[in-house]
Amino acid sequence: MKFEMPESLKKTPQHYCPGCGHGIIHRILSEVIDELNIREKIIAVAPVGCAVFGYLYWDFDTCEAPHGRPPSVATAIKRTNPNKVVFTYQGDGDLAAIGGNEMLHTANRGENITIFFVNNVCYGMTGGQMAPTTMPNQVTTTTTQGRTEEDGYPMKVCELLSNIDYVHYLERVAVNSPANTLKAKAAIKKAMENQLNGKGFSLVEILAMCPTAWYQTPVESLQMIEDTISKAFPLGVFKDS
Amino acid sequence: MIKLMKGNNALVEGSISAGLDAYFGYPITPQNEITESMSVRMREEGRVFLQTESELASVNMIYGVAMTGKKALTSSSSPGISLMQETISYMAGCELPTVIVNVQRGGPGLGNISGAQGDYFQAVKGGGHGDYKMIVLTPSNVQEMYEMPKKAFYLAFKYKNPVMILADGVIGQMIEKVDLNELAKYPDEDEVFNASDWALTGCKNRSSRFIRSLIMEEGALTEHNYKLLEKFNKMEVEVDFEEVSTDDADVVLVGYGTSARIIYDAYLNLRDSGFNVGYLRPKTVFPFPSKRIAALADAGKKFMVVEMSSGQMVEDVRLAVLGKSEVQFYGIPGGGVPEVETIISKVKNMM
Amino acid sequence: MKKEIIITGYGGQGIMQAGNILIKAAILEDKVTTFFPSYGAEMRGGAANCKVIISDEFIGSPIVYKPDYVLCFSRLAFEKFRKSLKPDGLMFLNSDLVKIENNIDVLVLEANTLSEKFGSKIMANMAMLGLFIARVKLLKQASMEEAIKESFKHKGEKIVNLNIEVFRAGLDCV
Ligand SMILES: Cc1ncc(C[n+]2csc(CCOP(=O)(O)OP(=O)(O)O)c2C)c(N)n1
Repeated sequence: MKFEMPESLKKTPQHYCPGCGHGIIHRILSEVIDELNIREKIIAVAPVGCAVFGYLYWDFDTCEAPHGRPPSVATAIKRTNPNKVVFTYQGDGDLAAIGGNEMLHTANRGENITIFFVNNVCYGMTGGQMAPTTMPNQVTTTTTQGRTEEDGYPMKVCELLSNIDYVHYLERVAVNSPANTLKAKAAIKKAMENQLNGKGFSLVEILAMCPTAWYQTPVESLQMIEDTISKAFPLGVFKDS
Repeated sequence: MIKLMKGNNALVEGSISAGLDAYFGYPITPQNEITESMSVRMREEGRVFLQTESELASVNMIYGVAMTGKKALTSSSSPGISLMQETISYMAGCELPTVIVNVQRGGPGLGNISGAQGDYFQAVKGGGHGDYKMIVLTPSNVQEMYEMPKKAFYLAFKYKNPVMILADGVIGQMIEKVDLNELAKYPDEDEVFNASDWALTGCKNRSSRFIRSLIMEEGALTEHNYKLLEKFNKMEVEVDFEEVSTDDADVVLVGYGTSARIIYDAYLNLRDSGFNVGYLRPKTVFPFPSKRIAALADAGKKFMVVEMSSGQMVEDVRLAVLGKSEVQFYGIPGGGVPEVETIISKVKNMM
Repeated sequence: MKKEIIITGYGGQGIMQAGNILIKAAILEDKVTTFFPSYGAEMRGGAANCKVIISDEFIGSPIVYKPDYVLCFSRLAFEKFRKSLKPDGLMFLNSDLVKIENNIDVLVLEANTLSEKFGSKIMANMAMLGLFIARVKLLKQASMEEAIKESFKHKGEKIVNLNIEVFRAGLDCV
């Protein structure tokens, strides 16, 4: 078997830090798009966050949304272009903090779009501040003594959205091991297929490493997902109706 | 077809005639008739209507539609328009054609629901962050509420830039006669509205595209700004205004929107009593009729600027006049309406 | 000729509807007209008014400060607008709703009572329009009736005819 670059990925070096989860997720997402043969139908929405440069790496039509607003931008693109395949790719700050309201209401309308939610339990792009998903006691640049109760508790997006009737599919996966990454790819594929089949709102939450902001080596950060993060954020399907 | 219609409803019909593909809005007085009527009319026409969870969602939805080269509009009133400013700046940065309607009400803060003109600076001087301009059209009657959406879309697509229709609660709420004739076609409109060379439509039979306003490469954002500036300067040719009896005038009354209607009454009254006054109504406030005002100032004419604000457009008049002539101001902020009699006595004092 | 009219009272009394009928009739006579409502939380029972201008020429401001005529449906409005009336202006009062001393120069009509004769007091606004038109002859009876028809046609012929009858009864009261 020949190991090739997916057609949906540009042959350009990416800016992500060593050990970052974004590169892996870009890769499996691009593979799925190739496998489903939908590259020419994609209109993607990049967030504000580390993945803002998604459009430099993905080889399909992509726009950038203001911080937190990709679900609204995607809603509008899909409603006016129902034959296109529309997804957003958002971090935890983008989706769960500043964009919490857009996330909730897009889910509540059951929009036929797909959200890839990259949960790296921090704000990567701005230098490692606390996110709504940050672990208890986790040290960030705005919780230098560790996250306390006063700073809130890790926000569980899949659990939260699972109470919304119109949500079709919710799954939490991780990319910290080959086995998990294969499962992540399957979930991404299913979420895309849901849209192609008109099933409505699908969101895949992907636990991803951020060694830089976690003050860890890449290997330690893989283990951190295994030992800590996936305990607070259990993997699995939260809704599939 | 001649009809009696509210300004807000006429704007809906005008938008539909202009080929609006999608409307997004969130309720706020005094523009609710737009959202309500759009909910019926857009669905009737088989086009997209969505009542959003906030003005943030609305403005980002028109941003999304514009990415795909289609025509989208949102409407709101002052507080809601404040909420939209970040994305309006993104639209200017991304060079996206959209139309935003502000049926202004009294401010600051929650203010009140009376018609007002306190958002002029926000509309004309930026509002959002960064160096950008937005074409701003100022309807002064129900007919223009019907006709301006088409013009707004034409200009938005011509310059690939957001365009604002800056109305106010009085124009939005009043009913008068409107001719719902078919809107005239611009000679080059097919070309202007054709977005196929830049819109995101899926990369079939072409290379992939992206649209963004984040420009981090060394010096590239400065370049981008210069390119935008050149475009904003070109918009000057779109300046539009109405002028009556300025030739022999000693004092020229200047106002837009509802204020223009009020100064018109004052103008008629003063002329009837033998005073040489003129009338000038900007129909675009960006670009502003600075050249014409400068020429009138050079000819020795004085100006009386009337607004439903504490004095915003008057600054642009003063910039055009550059101290060469007298500029007086009369305005009432916070949803108050200037009175014709006060204008008359103030103008008499200038004579 | 330019006449400025304020119709004023409470929500639910058909204030806006009466104003709408005037502007519809004005258009039928090729006149220039504007209508500007009070708006906002439109509650039944909340103060409401509309300003109507009818003219032969372009109308500047649609806002009326000194009306030629006021059609009044409440005590509050009566006190408020009596002072702003033009010197030669006229006040028309629904005297079922506002009791006044007889020395004040206003035209009164027990419009609720009159309307009730036709089955319900909700047509008091039509009675007041009748009184108003009979007195000032600003618009023709035929165009008013056409405008009433236009305004109620979605409710059926019976309602149209009832409203026209009340309007005519109002006309006869001058
Ligand atoms: C309105 C606004 N506020 C703040 C920012 C700054 N900002 C840029 S990225 C970011 C956080 C991104 O974090 P996340 O969404 O978790 O993505 P990550 O970078 O971790 O992938 C913030 C706060 C912004 N661009 N816009």
